[in-house]
Amino acid sequence: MSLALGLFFVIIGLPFVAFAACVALSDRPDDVIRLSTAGALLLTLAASAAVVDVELVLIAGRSLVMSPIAQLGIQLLALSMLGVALSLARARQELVGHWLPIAWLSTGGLGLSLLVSSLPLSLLVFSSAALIWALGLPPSARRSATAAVMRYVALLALATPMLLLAFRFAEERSSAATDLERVVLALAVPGFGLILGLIPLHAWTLTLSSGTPRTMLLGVLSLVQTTGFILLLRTLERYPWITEVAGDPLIMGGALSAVLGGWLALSAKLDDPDDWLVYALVANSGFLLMGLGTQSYAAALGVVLLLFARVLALVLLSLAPRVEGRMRRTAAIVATLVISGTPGLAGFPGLWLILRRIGLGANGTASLALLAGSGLLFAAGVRRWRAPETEWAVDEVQPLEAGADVGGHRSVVALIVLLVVLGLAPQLAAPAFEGSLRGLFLPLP
Amino acid sequence: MAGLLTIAPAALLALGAVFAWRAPTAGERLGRFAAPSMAVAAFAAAIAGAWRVLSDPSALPAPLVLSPWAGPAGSTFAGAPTLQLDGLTVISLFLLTALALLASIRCALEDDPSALAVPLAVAAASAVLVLGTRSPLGLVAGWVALDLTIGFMAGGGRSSMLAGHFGLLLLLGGLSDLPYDTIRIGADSPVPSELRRFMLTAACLVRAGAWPIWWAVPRSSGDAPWRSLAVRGGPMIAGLTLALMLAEMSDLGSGISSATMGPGLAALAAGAVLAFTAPDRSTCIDWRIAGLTGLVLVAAGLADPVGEAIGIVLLGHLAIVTAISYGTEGIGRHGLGRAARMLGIAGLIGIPPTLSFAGRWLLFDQLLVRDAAFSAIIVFGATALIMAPMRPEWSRSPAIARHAGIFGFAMLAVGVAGLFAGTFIGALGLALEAAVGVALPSPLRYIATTPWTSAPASVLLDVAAPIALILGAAPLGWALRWLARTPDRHAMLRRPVEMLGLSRPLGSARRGFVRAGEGLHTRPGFAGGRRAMAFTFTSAVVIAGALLSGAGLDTAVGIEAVVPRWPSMIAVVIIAVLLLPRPPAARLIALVGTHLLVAGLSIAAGVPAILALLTAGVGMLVVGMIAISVMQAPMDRRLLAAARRLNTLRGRDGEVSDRLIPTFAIGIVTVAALGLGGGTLETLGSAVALVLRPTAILVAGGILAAIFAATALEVAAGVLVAYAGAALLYAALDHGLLVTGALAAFHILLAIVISFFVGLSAPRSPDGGDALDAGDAGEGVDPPADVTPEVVGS
Repeated sequence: MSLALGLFFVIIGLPFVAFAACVALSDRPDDVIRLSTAGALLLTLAASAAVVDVELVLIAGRSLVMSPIAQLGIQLLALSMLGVALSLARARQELVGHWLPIAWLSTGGLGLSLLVSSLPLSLLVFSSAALIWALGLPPSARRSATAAVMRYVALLALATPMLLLAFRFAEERSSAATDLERVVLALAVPGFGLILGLIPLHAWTLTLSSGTPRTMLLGVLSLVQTTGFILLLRTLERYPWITEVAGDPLIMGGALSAVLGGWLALSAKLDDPDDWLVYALVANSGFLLMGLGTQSYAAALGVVLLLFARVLALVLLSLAPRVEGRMRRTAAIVATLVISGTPGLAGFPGLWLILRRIGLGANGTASLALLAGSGLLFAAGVRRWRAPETEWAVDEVQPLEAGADVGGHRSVVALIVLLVVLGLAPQLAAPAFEGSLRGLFLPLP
Repeated sequence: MAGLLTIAPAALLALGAVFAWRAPTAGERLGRFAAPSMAVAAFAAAIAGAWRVLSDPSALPAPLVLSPWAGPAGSTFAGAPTLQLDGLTVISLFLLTALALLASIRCALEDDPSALAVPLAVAAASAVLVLGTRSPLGLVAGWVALDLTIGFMAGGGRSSMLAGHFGLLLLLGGLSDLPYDTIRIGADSPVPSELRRFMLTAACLVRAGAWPIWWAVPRSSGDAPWRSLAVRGGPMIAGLTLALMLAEMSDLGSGISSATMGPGLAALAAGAVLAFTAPDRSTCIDWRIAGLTGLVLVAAGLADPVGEAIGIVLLGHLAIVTAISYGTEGIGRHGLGRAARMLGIAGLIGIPPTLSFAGRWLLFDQLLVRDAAFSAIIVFGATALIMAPMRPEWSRSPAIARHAGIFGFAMLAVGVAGLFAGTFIGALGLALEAAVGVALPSPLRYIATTPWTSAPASVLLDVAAPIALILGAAPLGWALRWLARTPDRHAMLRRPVEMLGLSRPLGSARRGFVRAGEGLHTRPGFAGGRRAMAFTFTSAVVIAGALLSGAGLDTAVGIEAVVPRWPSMIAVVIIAVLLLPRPPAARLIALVGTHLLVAGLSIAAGVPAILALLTAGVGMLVVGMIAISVMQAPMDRRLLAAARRLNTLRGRDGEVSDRLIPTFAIGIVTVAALGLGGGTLETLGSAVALVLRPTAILVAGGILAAIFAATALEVAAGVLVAYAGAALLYAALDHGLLVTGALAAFHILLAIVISFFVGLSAPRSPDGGDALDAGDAGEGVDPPADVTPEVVGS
């Protein structure tokens, strides 16, 4: 067995091994946290070192393939998982014992969904892995979360067949039957819109934020939605014609989400710790869609950079409850500003590339929507500086243990520094992502 | 070495700020003189840079890269944030460092050396912005640096951060129009569109602290107005440098428009009105400077290198007015200080040979030559208001105790420098030509050499009209001030123009905007309840419908005639059973019916029997799991009693309306689905044609059931019916075992999760249902006091 294949097996199996270890060690929360943190770091490294295009043949012509996009997705997943593990570092044993095994199982499934060569199977694995989050609720939160979780389940149950049918019709499409393109779009646009929580299909994320513990919300927003975006990239890779046909819907939908999401994030009540985050991510998703709609290579790289920054921002938000006072506020504000693409922070290089590409030609007006969304998110961050400290990222369901948390403090500082460095010197990260776009059909430079 | 010369002024000013900040802990001598020494060094570096650039404009120093954005050749990032010296920036740097130097001299005479930290920091950040004007990312870097410095150090706070960021967005919007590979902005850049030019000019206004978004730069403080030399002067010069650079981006005489002139004229006029009606002395000075900022923008609005050159002259005048206005505040009635003030007033009025006269003469001349008489009249009126004398009752701030003479001398030197520059503008024209490529005539020489007696009337008008407009403004301003001399009249004037300051109306608009957003978020009840589901699915249908329009689905094709109607009729019955009766058994029966119909239709559509049976078997398994969950759901008699009481109080009306809407919905779905023409889809084969309508009915009915659901079971049943309907269509298209098996596995997982929560959720209500939502409001209703809270589902 070659080294490349061995590494591939590590990437596939590590989350499931971690899941089993977490279950076995569930009565020793400190060990579970240490193991999960080490596992997430190892997964990040393994995904980064993975050999692209290594393939493991399955049955009926299907296989597991480490495509460039899958590699990117698994790196982001591992980072998100790191955030989940670190955020639970000082939580109660019951919570650690419930969330971390489920989070690992879901990460394993989501990772597999990126590796499966067949898109329909990939989608089903993705939906299953997303569904598993519903089973991770600690007993104390289950009853109160029923309504929110049922809607989340409903969403997945309806979005999945929509996308499956879209993929199927896309296979049937031929140069002689281009009418099917519209049918594919009619199924795929709302399908992905639901999964990514874009306006006006975003209501389920609000339900989730108001009805479930913060760990589930952050897990779904970081792990599931990030994988959803990668799945969208895979779809565009598999069916290149969609990139051209869906350009305008992507830009229009993105612009709507950017502006409305930004407005509603700004208007979210100061004493609500979650709604602003949901809307901020809705607006950020709008930026990403607009970038994809430009059909430009540079803008697509911007999308990837912005997605990477978004994951780091969510990790920072996960860590925020572990620090106190001004540092907690700073962490939350920095995360918001990263999501908004504020210059000087990691979100800006991506936004800049999207803006420079979207500003040309007929889509010129869309650049104003992009800027408006970014500006509204910036204003939301500034406004929320006044929010009571206790409202920043605090979860009533899973209060953290009191006392100094030196590790949490250091992690937050390190992450903030990283976000600033990536904002000032994107060349440190950009080349690593350029290869992931290799398979996409992007007619513009 | 060239890079060092580029960054030296900004770096030395920043170092000076650090020294001033640490002054209280340093020794007395070091604390007092280290920071001013850095300001002197920065001024010297700016002069050295100007000499280097203007002596040989063809060999500009190489740009200094601030951070590694652009990678090797062919990198996706087309450029990096760079700083660069050129003709325009060296002049701006000279003026900027001169203002910082004056602030340093003034601070050295005061008792608190640490007060210099903020002015020098703002000046340093402004210098970075000035140096960054040639590269898109350099502009962004400088802008952010200045925003942070003003927001966190200069007391600008949140409002200045927001205003500054708004300006940054305008800047980004303007830059986004440039070709992607633009790494240097200037004369060789393409001409921006009207909208983008307007955005860029508006960004300059914001940065310079001019009307209307003037609060990006903090107001001068009453106790230490000298700080504004750099705190207001720095951003002002930076913003105007950007505006003058924009003027380069047009061809000579390419034409002026409302986009180029409008922002400057508005800033000038509003600043003048606000200065005239200001409530106190420092506000009046602030608005005078802000108004004159608009004057430079009007020159830049000429949108060609001539406008840029005139703008540079007026920028020099503005720097002198700023220096004297803020610098002489608080030095009392010392003779040298008074003399400097007199020169400042002469410059404000535009008496020859001040630099102000030269600049305004050139501006009026160009406006009249270009048939922009209306703009000339606005400039005339606004300058009249700006030079109206201050109200006599405004008291001066107390004089500094020591060394007033030294600073008075410095101020006088500035005033004399203005006179000198105005007199020898022709000689300065050479430097301007090196900077911007256009030589300006000396107005004084032009006037002196004009043969007044023999020239035609039009030439006389060309020469005399600008002079009349300059010198006529002062008497008009004095007259206006005399008319408004009493406090009552002044107050009467102030009231209507107070709104012009915009902070209050914009504050109200901001609050209204936030409240409207709050309403949009809370009123529809998106966070919970059925409305979230209804809104989401309606949106999905609308989006899909919009995308489908024109897809040929309404095209009837021959195959439609042979499709039997019975599957659709059965599907309608199933969704009726799903939606209308209350008991859980009805939902389970509907689910069983759905799976039997799906199995039957699958076989009829040619799906291999084994796959159809597998799907049906999984369906029955799912129904069984959910049935067990329903039977095992916890019971709480107290809740049942409470629910009964509530039902009694509410009466039966609610229930009737609960049934009425779904009934209508079923009717609409049935009619729509039966009338559906498959068109394109039916061309995919008879199997698709057979299942298309039943699928549509099952999916729509399932979604409706999920929307109208009041219990976990009702949501589950609706979702599963819709899922089964969609899976039917997929099965008709793809007979593969692998995906069908995966679909079945997902179906089982779905059932596990659903049954887990159905089992957890609230007990059955008296009429057989269980409570997921307490009505439309979703999570909003608390259980009665005697009910165990954890039993209530949502």
